Amino acid sequence: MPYLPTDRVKRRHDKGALDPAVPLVLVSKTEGTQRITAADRLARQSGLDAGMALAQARAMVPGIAVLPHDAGADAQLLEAIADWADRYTPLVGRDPPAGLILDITGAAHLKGGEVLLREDLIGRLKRQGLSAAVAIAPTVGAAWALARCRGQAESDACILPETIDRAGLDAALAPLPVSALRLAAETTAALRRVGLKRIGDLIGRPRTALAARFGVQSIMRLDQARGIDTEAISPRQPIPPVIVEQTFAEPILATAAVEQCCRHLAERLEEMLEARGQGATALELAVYRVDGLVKRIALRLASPTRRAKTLADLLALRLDHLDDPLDPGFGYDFVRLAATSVASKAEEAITLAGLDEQSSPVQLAEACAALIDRLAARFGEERIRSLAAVDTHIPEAASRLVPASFAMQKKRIAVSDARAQRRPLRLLDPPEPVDVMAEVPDGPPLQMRWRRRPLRIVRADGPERIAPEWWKPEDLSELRLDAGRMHEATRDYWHIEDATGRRLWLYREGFYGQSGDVGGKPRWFVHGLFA
Amino acid sequence: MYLPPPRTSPLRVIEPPSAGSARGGRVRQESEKAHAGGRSADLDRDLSRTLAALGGVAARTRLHALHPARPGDEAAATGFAFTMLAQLAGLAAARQSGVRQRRPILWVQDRRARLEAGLPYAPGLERFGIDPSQIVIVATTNVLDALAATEIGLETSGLDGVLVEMPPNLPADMLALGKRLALRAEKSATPCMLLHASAAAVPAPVATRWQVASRPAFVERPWSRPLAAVDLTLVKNRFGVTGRWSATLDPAAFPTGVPHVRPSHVSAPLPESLDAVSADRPRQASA
Repeated sequence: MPYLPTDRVKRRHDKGALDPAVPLVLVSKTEGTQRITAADRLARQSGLDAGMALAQARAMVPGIAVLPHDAGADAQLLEAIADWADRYTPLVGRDPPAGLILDITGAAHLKGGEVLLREDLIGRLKRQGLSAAVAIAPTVGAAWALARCRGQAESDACILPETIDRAGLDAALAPLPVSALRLAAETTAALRRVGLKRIGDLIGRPRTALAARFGVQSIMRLDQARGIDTEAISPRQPIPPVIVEQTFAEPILATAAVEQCCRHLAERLEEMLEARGQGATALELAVYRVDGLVKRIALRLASPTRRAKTLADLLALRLDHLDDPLDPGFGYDFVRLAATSVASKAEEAITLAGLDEQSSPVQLAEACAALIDRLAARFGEERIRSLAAVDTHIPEAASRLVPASFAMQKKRIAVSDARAQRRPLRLLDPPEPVDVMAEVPDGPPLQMRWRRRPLRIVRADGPERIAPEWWKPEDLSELRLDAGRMHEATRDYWHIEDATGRRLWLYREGFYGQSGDVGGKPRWFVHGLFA
Repeated sequence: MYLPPPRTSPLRVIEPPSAGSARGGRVRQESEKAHAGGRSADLDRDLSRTLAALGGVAARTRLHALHPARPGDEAAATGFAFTMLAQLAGLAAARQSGVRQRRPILWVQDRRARLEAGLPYAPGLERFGIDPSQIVIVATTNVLDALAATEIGLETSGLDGVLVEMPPNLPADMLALGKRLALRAEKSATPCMLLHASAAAVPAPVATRWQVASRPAFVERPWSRPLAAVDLTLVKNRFGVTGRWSATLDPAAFPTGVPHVRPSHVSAPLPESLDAVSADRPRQASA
């Protein structure tokens, strides 16, 4: 997209705010001078181009429109266009600052062939106020070169069919300038200086001499363009293993229609997954608005699933509870459902509705997985957790919240019985400080205030001294074997019962009468509640 | 509104009910009759029997409200909720006369409740006879989310129960929302325990409403005993009597599914209690 920065600025300004007959340049300040960083078509026709000082440009063409350049916004727009462009193929790579590379191998026929695809792409971008130069070639290098030299010409001039042979490709590349080879500016200038102006001049030259004189890069780029060397596009996103999509002749507006479409797509997805013997563990629904906005909804599943109804229900649930609800604008014209992650799944799930007391463990596990999926779709994955006991004596670490789906498959860790017998049912997080009224040295308090109410302790058991895990390397480095800090972090736990029968787990921070006390008094906390 | 147990009442240990033992039953009834001053001798106030009645199909599928009597009694209420869930599950299994697999328990916890009463603690749950990995926790940030999560849980059959801890402030249309929950619970045959921090009643069509308080165990080192001593006050019961019991929660009986709330002391019965709106009065509901 040769005029991406100026097109972006023009799109943003209302009609009439910028006179289309006035050349537009974007400037930014470099080395103390205002320099042009982007120029629109008119400006370029008047001889202005990037790199020129603004004062010089003003002298050449008086009355140009000048606006500041925002490279960040350009990158954002390019990202958005790349996002949108995956309606043509999932394999979209960026070519900054203003280019995109689409691998349309095997995807062109979906749009009726390469010519139609190119026209569709240019047309859609044009409606968005973006001018594009598009070329299609068997290699990335050739497409890059053609797009920059002939991209806005007629279709036959810039589409090289996939079946073209080496000689044909060379012939097509030969008349293009060496600047189309994606080489560094100095290399291009050096080539020009010795009279090598066209790609054709390089083809057939001794390769070693070229490499010695102009760097290995020049040979590599040439080979890449000619298809001798291979080149991979690094896609923006991993390519989903299974994709189903639906194009609409007329844009759809209602969310209900999107849901309906999801159901159709989910059925097709189920067929495809079934054929592969797999189930989806993550889904992505992408809805493409007519004006180019793409809304993506990602969904993760607790277990591999391919049942169309389950998937569609989850998607519908998610659509209903989006933080930013779908805004159809002028409607959606394209919907894609992809299984972004799959896992093998032997047999199909049994229906979950008719579970009763006699249901098998497998059915129950599936019902539970389905429940977790529904809750995760509604509230977010991070809110659905399960508990796991960890074999450590640090009270806070002994109970850990783990992802629910994970815990279901996990084996239980046996915690030593003696310890488990003496632990509370609920743990306060964080521990609540208490005001101690009457205390005994190295004993539990007799009277204290907790939650602004007095509490008289009638029975107490302890102390159970719990020190940090000093033998673990990470704790060791933190404490640095500092005796004072070690004392501070040591806690004495007491089990107490108050006069009304409430049983609490109480601890004192640090040793009695030593460091860690505030104003010489030890600090006490309620850490847990016993049943 | 925590009512302390009357100090003057003689503490009598009542035998747990044994099926087919008419004599034991009679002795128990007589003692209660004497204690209640001859009032409603036919009322079976035995806690085990009350709970067994709650395990019936009709009650299993209802909402039950539990209120900790004072701050600090949340763990006792939680323990009793688990006891009840396990009891109901055990009774369901007993009816099927088969081995029943443990099923997940959905624990919906609102942010406020989490701050107030703390997180469930895995070693403590194990001590209580509950497999921590059996519990699926949903952390919500507002009461409506908590109720929605509960509803999703109740729509799924295959759970041992849903336990929801609600914040003190309930939405204005709690009655309607509670009715939705009651209908869902009935449809999926999943018991639902509503834990509400304040002693103020949750306006929901609950089958039973309990107030749970820790009770001094009158033993040395009560925390090291597996049995937790509690005072249970059944404020409302759609299927039978109300009353107050002192009981111990016996987690050891969990895996077998035997009723395992052991009544130890019986205290005075409550005056006839307030009724909440129930879910299954079609005539009233449609009116």
